[in-house]
Amino acid sequence: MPQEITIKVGFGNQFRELTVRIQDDDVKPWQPSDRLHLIGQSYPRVDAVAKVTGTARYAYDQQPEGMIYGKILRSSHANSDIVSIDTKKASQMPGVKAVLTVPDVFEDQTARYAGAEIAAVAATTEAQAEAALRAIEVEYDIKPHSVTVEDSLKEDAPQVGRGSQKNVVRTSPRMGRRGGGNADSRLARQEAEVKKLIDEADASIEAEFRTEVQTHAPLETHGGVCTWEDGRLIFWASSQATFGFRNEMTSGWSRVKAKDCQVLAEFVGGGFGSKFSAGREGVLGALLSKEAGVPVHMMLDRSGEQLSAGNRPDSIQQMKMGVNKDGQIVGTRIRSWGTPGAGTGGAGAHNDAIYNIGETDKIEYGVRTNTGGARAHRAPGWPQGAFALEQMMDMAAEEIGMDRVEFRKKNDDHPIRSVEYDIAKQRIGWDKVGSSTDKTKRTGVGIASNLWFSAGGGGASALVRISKDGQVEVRNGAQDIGTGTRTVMGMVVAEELGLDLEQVTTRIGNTDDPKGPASGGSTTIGTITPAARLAAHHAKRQLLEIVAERKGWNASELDLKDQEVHQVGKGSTNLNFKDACALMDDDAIEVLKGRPRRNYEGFCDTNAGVQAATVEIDEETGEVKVKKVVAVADAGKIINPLTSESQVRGGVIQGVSFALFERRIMDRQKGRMLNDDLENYKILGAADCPVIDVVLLDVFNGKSNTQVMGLGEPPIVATAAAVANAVSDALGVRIYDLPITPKKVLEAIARRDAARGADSESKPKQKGERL
Amino acid sequence: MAMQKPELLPEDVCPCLRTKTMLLNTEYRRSAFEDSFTADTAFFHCLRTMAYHGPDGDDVCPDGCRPGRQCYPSPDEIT
Repeated sequence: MPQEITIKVGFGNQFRELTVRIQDDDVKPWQPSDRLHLIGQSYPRVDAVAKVTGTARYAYDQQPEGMIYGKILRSSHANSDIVSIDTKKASQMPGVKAVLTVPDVFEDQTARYAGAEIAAVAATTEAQAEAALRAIEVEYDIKPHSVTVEDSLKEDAPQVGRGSQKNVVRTSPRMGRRGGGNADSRLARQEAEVKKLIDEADASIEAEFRTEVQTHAPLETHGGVCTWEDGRLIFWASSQATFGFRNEMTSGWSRVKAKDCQVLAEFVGGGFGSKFSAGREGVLGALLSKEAGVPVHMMLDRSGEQLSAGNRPDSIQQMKMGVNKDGQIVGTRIRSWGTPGAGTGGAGAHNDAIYNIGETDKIEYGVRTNTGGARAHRAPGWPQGAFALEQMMDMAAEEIGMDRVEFRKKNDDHPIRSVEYDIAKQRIGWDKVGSSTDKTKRTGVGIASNLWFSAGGGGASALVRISKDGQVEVRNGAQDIGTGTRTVMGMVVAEELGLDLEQVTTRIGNTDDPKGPASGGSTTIGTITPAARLAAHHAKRQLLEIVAERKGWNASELDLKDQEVHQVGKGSTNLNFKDACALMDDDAIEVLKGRPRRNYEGFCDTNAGVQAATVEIDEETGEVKVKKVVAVADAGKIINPLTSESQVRGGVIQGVSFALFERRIMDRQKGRMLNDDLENYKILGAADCPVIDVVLLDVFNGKSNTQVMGLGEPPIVATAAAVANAVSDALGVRIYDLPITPKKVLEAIARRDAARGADSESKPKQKGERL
Repeated sequence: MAMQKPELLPEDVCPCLRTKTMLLNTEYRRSAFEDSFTADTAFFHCLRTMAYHGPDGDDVCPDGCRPGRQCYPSPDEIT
């Protein structure tokens, strides 16, 4: 029965009252006046010891009896059709138990990039499986290839796709089925209107920005270990979507067609957006196990991971912005291109969000290349979009002679971010970043913003069990991919029951337990914790009903606090939690509750965030050192500051890595990835890591009973952009391409010095000088 | 073998189509199909090929995976 209540929403000194209709027996969101004993306190992860001592068992660690090993044969050609595959020799080799081919399993005769799956083998040992792969004979129809956007855009470029597929397709705005009317004429009208606004603005700026492909590189590669028991598929999967994985295994549309399937993902070594699907490796593993009749270990090797397990698409972003002298942006034109591999969808960039950038004329193109396919990658489209947009913001501010931060504030109406700018400035020492004492080194400071939009939603249930002996357990079948979900879920239940965290056991990562969401869109904790709190609340009420009946008290006046039963207005009854549980007749109280499907109106639909970075650049070597990043973040109610900080630090680290190091290098002649390992695919290491100063704002947003907003993705949005702006501030010349390598820095310095007509040492750089 | 169409797919989109947002909560789920964002960042794959192209070799996408396509299941395959 919906119930209308008044709650306080806001943060800092910005609170207001809001009337909301809560649903489905939900509980009132925590209020600023509530005395919370766990929520808002830092707690180490409950599985921290297991992880650092190696006792946590990941998919990779599973070794069911009789397990054999699966391996995948990959195409060495960038673009080909499979004419034939002869597996006879491989099938007869020692230890080989099963062999499958891609055309048979996946109805696919094509191999559209070097690394595409061709066949799979399961054998007793890894060495036997690899030997058998070498014995498979494949006849290819090899076609011309293109592995870069530039090559695919050429008029005489080879066709990457098949049939009538063009290399370049307009992917956004999608006006196909639902747009109606004449899409081209509407786009032309929009283009003319925005052009007029920009032409009539007091000033305009224009630039082209480029970002490189960032491959997924989780420590635990994709795949899992699987076995069949009486027709039921059991899959220990490295997955960020246990229920989605199960759906793919049991769907009648897939080749596996398991009648029943249990997916287990108690510990997952990272996902970052790439592990929503079982992938071809998952299907092949299940089918090899079925054919061999024994468990199969099918995990990608590092090369397979870098080639086939997804990436963040690259981008070429052309932007033109019109701005008036008072700082208002009046219009922005955007054209962008990116490659998601052999397809065309998904390579867009969020370069028109965060700020009010006036009327927008934006068109995106997907460009086919013969490369491994992209997948969602921590804030898909956002870091590359922010990299372009935030540099445009700095350039526009410089053009009209306005302070960079004031210019942002002028075009930003986010109620939380408006406060975060000043915190970031103060913590980074915005006005104090001076010159280096080393005359060959330059220092600079940059700023950029985040935006995110998810408070979770329906689709999760939690089971809370209070046993007669005082044990408490909470269960949800979703996974914890390293974000701290397990810990936070336990904290919410412990808070509701007035217990310590160690008194609650949290079970997670098993599809036999209540349904949970995929870890995507930064929605996991916002989706699960309201269900957990709701289940805990109703379990508590059942327990207090029993206590009231046995003790002759009024249940509506009872609550659990500090591990005891309390009476409203009177304090402790001196009945502790364990003794209260012992009053049960039954063995346990079990409550299963689903999260309300809809969020409440709340304080704000989005969360913000601002990051400021300082850099030091060696002008002789071109090396950029990110010295410090201040990350001001908000994510609704902060349940556990420690795990929240960890999320922010992870986003910043990945963002700095994107800014300075990561790129997929393709051999245009051979069509192959040259750095499909972690030796040559450079990722930021400990020595490259800046000081990261995390500031968390606690926001009572009221959107659910726990008020959690997403935090996994937003911290990566701003980082590369803030670093790029700091580099420009330091050098007095802008670098438009990621990663910002020493070579690009030295080239930029040469460009700057040539424009100044003098040696940089004899002519100090001018802050804000545009070149 | 007749197979039920997942409830999350809009209209007549092929039941073999999958994308991340179908696995997420109700408020997020349809964003990939409704052009909620001005950037194209959604990836779609086919359950039959487990790839971004379907059995017919063409792209997997909400606009393209519709009745009339060669690999679209026949009516008696969908309940």
